Amino acid sequence: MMNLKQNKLLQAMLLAALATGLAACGGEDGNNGSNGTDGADGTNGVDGTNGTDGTAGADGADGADGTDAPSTLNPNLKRLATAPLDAEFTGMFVNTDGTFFLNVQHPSSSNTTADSNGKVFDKGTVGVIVDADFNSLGDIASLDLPITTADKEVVMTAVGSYQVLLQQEDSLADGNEAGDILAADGTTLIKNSNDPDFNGVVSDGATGFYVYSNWEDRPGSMSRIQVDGLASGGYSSVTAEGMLDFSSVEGTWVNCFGTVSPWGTPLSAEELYFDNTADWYDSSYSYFSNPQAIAEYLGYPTDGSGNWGNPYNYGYNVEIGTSGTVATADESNVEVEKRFALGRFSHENAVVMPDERTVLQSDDGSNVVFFKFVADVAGDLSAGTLYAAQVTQAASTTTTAEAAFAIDWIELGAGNDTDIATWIAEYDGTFEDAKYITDEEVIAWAEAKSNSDIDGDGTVATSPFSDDRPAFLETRKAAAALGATAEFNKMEGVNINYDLASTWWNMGAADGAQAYAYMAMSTIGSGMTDEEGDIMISDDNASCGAVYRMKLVENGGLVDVETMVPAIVGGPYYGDRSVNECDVNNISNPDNLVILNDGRLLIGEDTGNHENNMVWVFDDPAI
Amino acid sequence: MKNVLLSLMVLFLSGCFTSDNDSSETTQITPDNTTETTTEDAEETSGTPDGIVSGYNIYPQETNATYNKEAVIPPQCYTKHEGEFNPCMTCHQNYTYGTRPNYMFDAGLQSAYEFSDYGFTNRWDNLFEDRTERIAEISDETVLKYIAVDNYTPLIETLENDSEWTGPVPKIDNLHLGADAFDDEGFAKDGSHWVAFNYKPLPSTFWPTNGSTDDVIIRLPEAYRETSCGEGGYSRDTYLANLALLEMSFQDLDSISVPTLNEQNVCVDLNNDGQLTTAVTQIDSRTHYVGNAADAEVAHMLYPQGTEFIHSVRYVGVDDEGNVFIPARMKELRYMKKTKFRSEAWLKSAYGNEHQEKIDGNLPNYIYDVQGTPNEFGWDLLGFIEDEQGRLRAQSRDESLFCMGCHTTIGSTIDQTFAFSRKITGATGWGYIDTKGMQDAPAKLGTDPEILEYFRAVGGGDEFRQNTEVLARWFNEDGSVKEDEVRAADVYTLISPSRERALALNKAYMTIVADQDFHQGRDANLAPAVNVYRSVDETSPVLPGEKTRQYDMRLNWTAE
Repeated sequence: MMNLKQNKLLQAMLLAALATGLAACGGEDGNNGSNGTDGADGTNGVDGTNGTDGTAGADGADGADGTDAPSTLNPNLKRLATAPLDAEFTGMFVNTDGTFFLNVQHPSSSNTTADSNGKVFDKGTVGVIVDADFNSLGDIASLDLPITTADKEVVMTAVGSYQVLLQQEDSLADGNEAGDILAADGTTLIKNSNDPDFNGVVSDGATGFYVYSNWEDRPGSMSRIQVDGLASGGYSSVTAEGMLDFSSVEGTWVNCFGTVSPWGTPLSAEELYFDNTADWYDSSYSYFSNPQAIAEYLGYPTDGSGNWGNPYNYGYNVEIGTSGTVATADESNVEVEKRFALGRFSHENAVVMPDERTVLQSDDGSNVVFFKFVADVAGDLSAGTLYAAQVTQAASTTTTAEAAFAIDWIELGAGNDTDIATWIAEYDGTFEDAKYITDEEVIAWAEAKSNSDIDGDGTVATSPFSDDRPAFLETRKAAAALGATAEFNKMEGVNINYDLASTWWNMGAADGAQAYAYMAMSTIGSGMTDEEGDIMISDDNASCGAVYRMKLVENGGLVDVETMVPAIVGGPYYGDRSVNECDVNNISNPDNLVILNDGRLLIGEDTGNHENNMVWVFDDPAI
Repeated sequence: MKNVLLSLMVLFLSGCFTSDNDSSETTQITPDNTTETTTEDAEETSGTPDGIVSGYNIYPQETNATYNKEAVIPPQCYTKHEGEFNPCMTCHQNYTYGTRPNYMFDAGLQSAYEFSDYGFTNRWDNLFEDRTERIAEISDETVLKYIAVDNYTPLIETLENDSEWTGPVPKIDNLHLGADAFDDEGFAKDGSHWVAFNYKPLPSTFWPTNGSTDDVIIRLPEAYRETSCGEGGYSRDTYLANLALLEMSFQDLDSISVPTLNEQNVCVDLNNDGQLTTAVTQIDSRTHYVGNAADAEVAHMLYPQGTEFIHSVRYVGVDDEGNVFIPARMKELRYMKKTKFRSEAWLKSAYGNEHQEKIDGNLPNYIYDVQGTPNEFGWDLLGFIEDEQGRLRAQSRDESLFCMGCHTTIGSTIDQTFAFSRKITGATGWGYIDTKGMQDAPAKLGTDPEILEYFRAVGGGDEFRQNTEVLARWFNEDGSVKEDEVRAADVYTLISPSRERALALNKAYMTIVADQDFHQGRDANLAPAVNVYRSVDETSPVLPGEKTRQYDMRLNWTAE
């Protein structure tokens, strides 16, 4: 009996604690109270009745204010698709024929359920949602959260059906297997990846399409599939052609997300994730096996006894199919160029604006920077000027949802691929040579460029360079030195709907229907949540991420963005849960973004905080 | 269900307080028990003192809450190395690129506590629990009776008769009897084709003096046990040959001794003497396995798909004379099966993914399955642990996550395992574990005996330098190692506790069983840990470079 009493008391205490917790959430969001549409949250009221078990019952009533604690689906979201267990969705791309390409990256090898086509998702998978027109999607009914193991282990979609095009280790026509990372010699197998990422889909010049798919690894790779004959159930013709040859650019590094340029070339982003170039030559560095793998790729000794990969060969946007080769019949003849002029950092992706000169670029990692490139000549990414964002947070805002930013662009430098290539070549050498641009050199360059004493030593240094190489080879550090905001965290997909943006632009900017770019911030953290710098956010739900809206504006005859406004914020975050720590009825750790023709967003997740990663259709209420 | 939930939440909350409310934890978990004496609880709850009745509930209590999202970081990783002591080397190593399929390269963890932000807090609260009084309340008779009880056979019977259980049944007849379940070459007497091998336990968690005895048994899939010649079917000679081929690939050997086998039963000239010899004792390495597995390549340092391991972790048996042995009662029954063969190219990419996850500061993410959780490197891991009545039950999500730390992404393992690479090489290493008379062979990169090296590197007999008996037996007062004595001793002598310590360790662990708070740690510490961080921060010292060590857990058994 004694125990029972104890239990009762504890129960009451726990309920009180829970009720208090809810009240706390609600309290922060008090000014949402006027939002009449939130009547649906009456279900929270049920919690209130539990409250009568203890003194905290009154607090339970406050729970009704918790409008941002979605006990039902966020009214602006529809769940479009769910990924198999342990997978993230990548490669989101809406094709001109209305299909929606969508990859399953690193699913659990223990997934055993076969989908209706007999496919099991225990390997990285390139696929596409067919039997639905994503160029005119219309209203859709939201997909339910998968609950049974069978539903959790496959791709579930609200519309159409998912057609698997290629899975890791599938045989390719070129004799390799999907996901193979081959050395520059074209034969030595270094790795086999289960991480398909960006899909760039282009016309094959006839009735079909070439699907260029990134395989993100160190070194990275890209496969090409030809699809044709779209009919009910999907493409009737699927040819897994082969892996691209990147030896002409010394290989690639973590081919991540990307976009297709307005002139039809896929832009494959190298997500560098190598913050300090000095580590490239440090055998005690935790991730030293990565430059070792590059040495293996290049045929150099992996023990550092000879030549070593040049760190400045990696960390760029790779333009695929240059010189008009994007639709060449033999994928081994596809030409590629690294676009050095767009800068070297941890590229998530670049997206070209309808002026065909301005490029918005996101930088993945912690304490990262938002970049903009302006090409000298429309349609040519080989030369131009690089800028970095310095942001100002809205006054006194602290929550993710409130914290909007104004953007000032800081010019880093102008350059072209030819010149930059010669600068890069100066860092060729052996492991022992260990050539790289030091932090001190970056600061000295920045002091000279800005004519200011950045390091506070009382002098303005002379640049060690006769050029702006730090802007292009140590881009993030150069940006930070010149005052850009190097505080963003897990900056992921940035995208526009090209048709909407183009219409707006060609109608004469402000006269056209307004268009927007969107950017995913997977997790609000690192420099965004500390108590210093340009960004200071304090938010219990920061772990679930947010998507920002950026209004396209005309500026000096070019497309520009000057603001960054939270469009949707994930959460609430329930830290003690074993799975689904971020509310299942809201986004969590957004990554890939696609904007539909009607302005709605497709938001893809890369999250450990949802048991099944999802793609959402988001109808931005602000526009 | 509500009671279960509340009980666990109470447990959870209790973690916030000091450890003096242990009795209330016990109360909440088994509301019908009194809190008066743990001793009586143990006797009552182990069913009849002589045995456990099968057909019990083998499923863990699950809630949606998790206590420790970083349970992959074992308690040992929170040791205060003080910039001086290096127990970390056992798990965290770099090896020459391209020489083995492990590309974790985490030697940096010897030097620095590179945890996620979440991981900086040590949630293994049991380390700090003072069990002194509770240990004192348990009589020697009680513990001796307790550890003699077979809790394995009832588990197997329960699994076999549970229609809900579709997972593996790690069955070896009489496994609770240890050596008696196997013949002299390690083959299970029940014909289940499990094979026991004799290995040197990894320093130092699996040393009896630190709380547990254990055994490890391997089984290769059927094709590897069958001959492809004659009338086909099971062939012990073929099986022995394939086990030897596997062992050579792990040890980088060109030839190895085998229990006498007949090549004519394998129809392969295993020793390359140009004929099919009837009594072969040494065979050469090959590119492919033999028998019905002849199509399978011998993949360097990788087990074939379908390979299984049983690892029983047991109390420390001790007799009146102080002889230490492996008793019947298991603390844990661990099982793993390689469900997917992963090539080196595949693994290299997967380790790269793991690096990326760590750079991102992501918390570990495994798909828990009560019937076996995949480690995403090809293996499914399944663990059973004692319930409050001492019956083996499946592990909960948190408890299973604990397994993944060591069996997934650390640098020193070979194909995610430990013991097989520490087997006595060749013919004499087949048979149930027996450390009596076992030489303290040097590790492959070392020259001195491994345990001697370990004592020197760690400054004690366990990661926490809290095993006072080892310190008293094998260390001088100035902290130096009694080198001559250590060199003269066999492995058994070096790693076995006194009778008194053995009994105390068992009693200490019984209190954890009673509390059912394995999620707060399963180390049988006799006193609250001192050399362990409650939380690590940036002021915690790093281990200087000269204190880091290269270590290959494989052993050089032929060293002088």
